[in-house]
Amino acid sequence: MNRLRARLSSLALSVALAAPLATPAGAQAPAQTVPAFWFEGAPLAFERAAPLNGDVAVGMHDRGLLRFLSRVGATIAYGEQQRYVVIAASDRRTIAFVIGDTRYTSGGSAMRAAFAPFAQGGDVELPFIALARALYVEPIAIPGQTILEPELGVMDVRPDGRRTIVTLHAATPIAAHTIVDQSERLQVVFDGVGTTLLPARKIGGAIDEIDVFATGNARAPTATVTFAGARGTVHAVASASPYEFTVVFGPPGVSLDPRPSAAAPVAAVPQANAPQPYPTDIPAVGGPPASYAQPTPYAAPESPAPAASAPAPAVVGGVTFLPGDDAFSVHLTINGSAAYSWHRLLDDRWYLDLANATLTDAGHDERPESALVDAVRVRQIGTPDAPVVRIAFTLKGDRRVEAAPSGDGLTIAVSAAPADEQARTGTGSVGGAAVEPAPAAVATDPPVLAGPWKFGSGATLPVSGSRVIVLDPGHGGGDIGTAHNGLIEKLITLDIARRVRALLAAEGWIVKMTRDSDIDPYNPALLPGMQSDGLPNASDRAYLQTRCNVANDANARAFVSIHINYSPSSAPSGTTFYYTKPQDVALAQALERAVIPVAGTVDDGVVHANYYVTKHTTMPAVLVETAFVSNPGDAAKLADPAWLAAIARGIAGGIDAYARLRPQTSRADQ
Amino acid sequence: MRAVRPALLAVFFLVAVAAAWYFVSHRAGVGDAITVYYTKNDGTTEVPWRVTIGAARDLPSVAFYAATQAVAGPPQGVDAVRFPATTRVLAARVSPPTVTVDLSNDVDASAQGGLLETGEFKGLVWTMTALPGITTVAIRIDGRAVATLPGGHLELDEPLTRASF
Repeated sequence: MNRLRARLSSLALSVALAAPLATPAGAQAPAQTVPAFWFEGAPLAFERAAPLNGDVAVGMHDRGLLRFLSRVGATIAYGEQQRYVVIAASDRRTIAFVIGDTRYTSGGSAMRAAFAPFAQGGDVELPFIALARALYVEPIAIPGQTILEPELGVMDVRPDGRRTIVTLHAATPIAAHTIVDQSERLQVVFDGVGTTLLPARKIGGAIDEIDVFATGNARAPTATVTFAGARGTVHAVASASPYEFTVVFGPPGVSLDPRPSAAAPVAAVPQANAPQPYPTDIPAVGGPPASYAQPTPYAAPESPAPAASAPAPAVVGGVTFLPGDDAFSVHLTINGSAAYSWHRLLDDRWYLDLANATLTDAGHDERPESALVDAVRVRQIGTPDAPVVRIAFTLKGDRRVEAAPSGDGLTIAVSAAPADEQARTGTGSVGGAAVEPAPAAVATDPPVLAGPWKFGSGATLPVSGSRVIVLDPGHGGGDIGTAHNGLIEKLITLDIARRVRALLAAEGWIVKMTRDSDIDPYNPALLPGMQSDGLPNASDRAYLQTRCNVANDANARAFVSIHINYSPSSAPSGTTFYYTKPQDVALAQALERAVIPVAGTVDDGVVHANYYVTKHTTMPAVLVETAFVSNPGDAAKLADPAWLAAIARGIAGGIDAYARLRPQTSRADQ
Repeated sequence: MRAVRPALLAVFFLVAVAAAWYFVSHRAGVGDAITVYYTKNDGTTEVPWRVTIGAARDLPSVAFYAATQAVAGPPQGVDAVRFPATTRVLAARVSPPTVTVDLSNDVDASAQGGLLETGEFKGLVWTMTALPGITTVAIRIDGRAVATLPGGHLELDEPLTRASF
């Protein structure tokens, strides 16, 4: 019945359009007129259209045609000096016309139009009726006008293991309401669309049959579809686009996610397992990009407590150097209580940070006559709110260093014995202060980590890049990166980078960040000549080159850019290490070895890519896509501060391991 | 024997005409279909598929057609990395060994991670470089050379080759 109605309408339209051509020669032929088209309850007016061979010629730039295409979710493409006009439909089919040829293809099927498209006045005239039908819009002629009726154009039934997936595709965005919704039976009414689809019987698999019938009229069509599942099946409804309606039938316990590699069934995902909003200060994202809430100023989990609640700083009132034949000691006289952390570096340097402590003098630089110690430096560092006293040793070879609290302070003793290879950091306290874990103590003091502080015999040398690591938290400012599942890339990358910075600084690296706040850095000096509109825009070289220059100018040892990945499909997950230059590979492999075990993500491998920041940095550089925000499992990880800390350990460990494999060859390089 | 000779000459003539027609119609190296590549959801694996082309076989037309097919991607339901649905090919200008593909700025929505961006352009570059005489692909967005997509990763203002991925 559906097909019969369509054929009658088509015949009527053909007769109407062909009638003027059939007028006998010499007779008073009526003027050929284009029928009045109606589409979705409103007239569809073309700027210029003409009947031709039973179709209607419409220019591809005609605003009426473009409005029609926009409504059906199609785009049209044509390039000068070539002959194809290609229309991409909302269901990803392409309809390709060739200028001068009546043959055209629709989704790979060969068709023939009433006339060949032709160029005229800078435009290309297309057979509109043929095009409309290819886009699932059926012209229905009624006296005086032609109604363009959107159709349910395709019913795709796919058996997929124990389940059956049915996808209906309509010409216009679907407005559906359910009449019957039982586990084995689903009846849906689609408003505003007709159909010429035929019922499907004896389908087999998880669906027995699908019944389709059209109701209403050309001006207000409806289509009703009834799905009869096999005995004992259940179903779930999904849709990948506004033009699609997808239902999956299958036995209980089988994933009803219509995607082929689904990680979890749609209906079976319990709410408790849904990714939780990022717990620090990242607002949940619930709307389109335009409605993204402006994030509140970032505060890393390691940030120190407000100064008002902090205890009074301890005072380091005296520093005494005690050289000896088989030992070298330094005694700090301390009034008050303070926690400390110590760190042994890979190149025979050792330092201790006394947190929340002040130095009463300007500091000390000592070059003792000692077989064990080359130099000692004591300095006040940190900030007024979080003062730190640091004492640092440059040792002569592999020496053991021990810190021992005493009644009036702290004694640090260097002995000739070799250092314990396993002990590279530790914590303690003076005067009963609470002991903080070493990384946290470092993390409270960003100025120390990013600053040009140096010690030892190389202190008089200018800061150079060989001990500099540059971290690049991806995106920032107006460039939010990807945002899904309540997670915003630019904020998470900054969080991870800050954690990595703290860990690397604890290992003695000088860490620079391309950004340390919610900004998208660019250097205005790079703008001239790099854009055509005179205004900065996000595609300009100035943005990413600015990030590269942070590392290039510092002659950094390594550059690591931190990102979050995304896919329209929820299936992809894992961590990818992208490189461009041959010298990047070793760093990428070191990162891969260190990150994957601690992050627990799928190893997506070391992958070559033509990425800007890895290409335009002069040192080994890697872009790490840490996890997929679009994958439920990965998104849950990204929302978990413990996981962020874990992957930060992995990234820091990878960088450290890479640099350790390639030790300094000259102290002058430092 | 004399009677057979004209027949043999006629057959020879027909064969020669058929061969000439075949040579002329296939001299551009483009047959009835072109190979279009799409990238699987793993972001790296390229899958070829054959797409029938129409009567226009000149290289500029075929290049434009190939670009539109690559941007449209494989049929719905195929597991593939895809350009944003509204992305259009504005032009494909051929100057062997380079083809310059001009895309509408709808492609900006791709810049949501390395996988998506790399996968889309990898499929496009592999498709275009499958055409005879084409080895590099220059990208323009709304007619403009850009360093990257806004917020993107991939460098786009230098011609891409298969080795870029």
